[in-house]
Amino acid sequence: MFENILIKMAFKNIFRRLSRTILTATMISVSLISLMIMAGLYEGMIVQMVDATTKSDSGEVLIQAKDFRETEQIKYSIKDSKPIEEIIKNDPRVESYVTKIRAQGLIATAGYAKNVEIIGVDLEKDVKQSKLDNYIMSGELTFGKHDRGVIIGQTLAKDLKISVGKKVIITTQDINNEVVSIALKVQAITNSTGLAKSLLMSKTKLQKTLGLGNSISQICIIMKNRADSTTFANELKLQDLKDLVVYDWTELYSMLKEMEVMMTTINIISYAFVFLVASLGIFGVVLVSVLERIREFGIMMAIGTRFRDIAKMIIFESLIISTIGYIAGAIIGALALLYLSAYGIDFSAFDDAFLMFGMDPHMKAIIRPAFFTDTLIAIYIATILAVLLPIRSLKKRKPVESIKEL
Amino acid sequence: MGFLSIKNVVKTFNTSADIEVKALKGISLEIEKEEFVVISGPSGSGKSTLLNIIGGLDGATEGSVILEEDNVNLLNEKELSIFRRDHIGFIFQAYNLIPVLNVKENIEYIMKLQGFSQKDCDARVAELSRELDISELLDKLPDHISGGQQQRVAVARAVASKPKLILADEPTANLDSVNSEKLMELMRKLNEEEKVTIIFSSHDPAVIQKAKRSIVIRDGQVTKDTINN
Repeated sequence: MFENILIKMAFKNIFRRLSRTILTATMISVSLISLMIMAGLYEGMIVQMVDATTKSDSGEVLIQAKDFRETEQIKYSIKDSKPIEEIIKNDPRVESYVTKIRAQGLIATAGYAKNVEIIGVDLEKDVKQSKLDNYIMSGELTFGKHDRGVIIGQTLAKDLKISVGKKVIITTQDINNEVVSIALKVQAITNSTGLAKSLLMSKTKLQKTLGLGNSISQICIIMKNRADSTTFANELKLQDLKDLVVYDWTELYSMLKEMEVMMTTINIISYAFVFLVASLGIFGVVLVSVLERIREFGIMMAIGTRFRDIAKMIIFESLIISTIGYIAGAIIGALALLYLSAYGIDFSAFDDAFLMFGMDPHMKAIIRPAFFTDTLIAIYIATILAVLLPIRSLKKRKPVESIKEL
Repeated sequence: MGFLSIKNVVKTFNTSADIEVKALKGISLEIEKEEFVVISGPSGSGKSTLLNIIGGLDGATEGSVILEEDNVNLLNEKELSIFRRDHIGFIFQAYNLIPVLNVKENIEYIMKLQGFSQKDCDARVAELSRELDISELLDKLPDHISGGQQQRVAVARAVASKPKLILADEPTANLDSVNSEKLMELMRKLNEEEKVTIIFSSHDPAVIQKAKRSIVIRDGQVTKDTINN
C-alpha cells in the first residue's frame, strides 16, 4: 500500500519537471535511434555482402574437384555430379543448389580487351538462387537465341566501354589446351557485386566450347539457414567424396568473415559509446534532480521513510523516464529501419569505392529483435548505474542535514 | 526512569576549519508522559540540536536518550527510521510538507508507512481535519494554502498515527501572532485530549508561557527548568 504512494510520488515528480523529463527521454530516444540505425545498416551491409558473394557466386557451401581452386584449370572438374547431387537434394536443410562451369579467359571488343572469369550457368536455375533479376542494370536477363548472349558485370562493362547489344569475343583454352573463341552479344549488364568483373553465359554452350561433356566445375549450395552451412559442409567432408573438396563460405571468404567480426566489434563499440552517452545524460539529470530535492527526501526520512524506499522511488522515476525514452526511440527507430530496409540509402555516387570492397552501393538495413531487446537492457543498466551515485550521495546525509538544505 | 530520559548528552560539531564546537554540553533531563514542555533559549543555544537528538534525526556525541525502552543513541539507521515512524511526530518551523502530495495524502503518509488500511486512514484524516479545521483543504497541494494552514496540516500529519511523542521545532516562528496563538491552543488541546507528550522549542515569550513546563538552555546547558502555572 505504501508502495502505491511511492509510485504516485514518482509519477508526480516526473510531471512536476516536465521539460526535464522530456529532455532526458529525448536524449535516450535519440541515442537509441542512432544506435538502431547504425546497427541495422552495419548488419544489413554485412548480410548484403555475404548474400551478394555467396548467392551469385559460390553459394554458402561449395563443392569442387580437387585442385581446381588452386589451379583454376578446367581439367579438374566434377565428371559425375549425380551421386553428390542426390545427397544434396535429399537434405532438408538445403534451400537450393546450382552447378556451374568456371574458366579463365579474355574478353575483347574492337578497342579493348580484359581478363575475365567466364561462368557457365543454367540461367533459369541460377536466377532462382542468385536473384540476379534484382541486379540487372540494363538489358534483358536472357542468353538470347541459341544461347548466343552473355551477361557481364558492371565493372567489366565500364572497362570495356560497352553496352547492351554490342558484340564481344571470348577467348579461352579448352580441355585439350587448344585456344577457342566465340562471339557473343551482350544481353544484359549486372550490378551484382559478386559478378562485377565476370561474365555469365550458357552452361551447355560453355561445356560444348570447352569440350567438357557433362562435367562441371562446381556445385554451389544455399542453405535454408546460413548458420547450418559449416555443419553441413563438415558432414559432407566426412563422406567418401573421392576427388571432391567441400568448403563453407567462411573458408572461401575469410575476409568476409573477418569483416563480419569487425562489424560486430564496431557495433559493440557503438553500443558502448551510446550506452556511455546515455548513462552520462541520465546521471546528470538524476543528480540534479536528487540534489534539488534533498530537502524533500530529508523530510521523508525524518518522518520515518526508510532510505531503501526513497532509493526505490528514485530508481522507479528514472526507469519510467528511460522507458518513455525507449518506447519513443524504439518506435521511431523501427520506422527508420523499416524505411531503410525497404528503400535503403543510395551511395551510387561512390560506386567504384563500394564495388572495390565487394559492397553494394545501395545499402539496406535489416531489423533484428535483438536491436530492441539489447538496447532495452542496455538502457535499463545505464539508468540503474546512473542513479547509483546520486543515491549514494543522498545516503551519506543525515535527515537533519538534508532538511536544512535550501 | 521517566518516559523520556536524557542523560549527559554532549553534541560536538566539527567545522570545516577542523574546529570543534560543543553545541550541547552534558544535558540531562527527565520528561514524563503527557507533559507539555517548551525548550527556550537564544538562537544557537542548542534547542534544535537537542530536539533533533531526541527524535533520532541526529546522533549525540556522548550520553544517552532513552524513550521508554528505546536507547535512541544505540539504534542503527534502519531502527532509527522505524523509531521515528512509530514513536515520533515532527512539526517543523518550515512546515516541511511533501510538495507533490495533497493535504490528505500528507496527513495519511505516516499511517500508510505504518501499514494502516485506507479505511482507517480515511477515518483518521476526517477526524483530524474536522478538529484542525482543514476539511476544505484536503485536495489542495501545500503550495496552494497559507502558512498557517500548512502548519495545521503538519500538526495533523504529526499526530495522525498517534505517536508517543511530538517534537516541534519553533513551530510558530513563521506564523503571525493570531496563527501562533491558534497553533498553541491546538497543541495544548492535543496534549490534554489525546494525551500526547509534546516538546517544542521557541524563543517567543507569548508562546513559552503556554507550556506547562519550561526548560531554558543557554550555551548548550540547561540553565532553568520550571513548571508554569
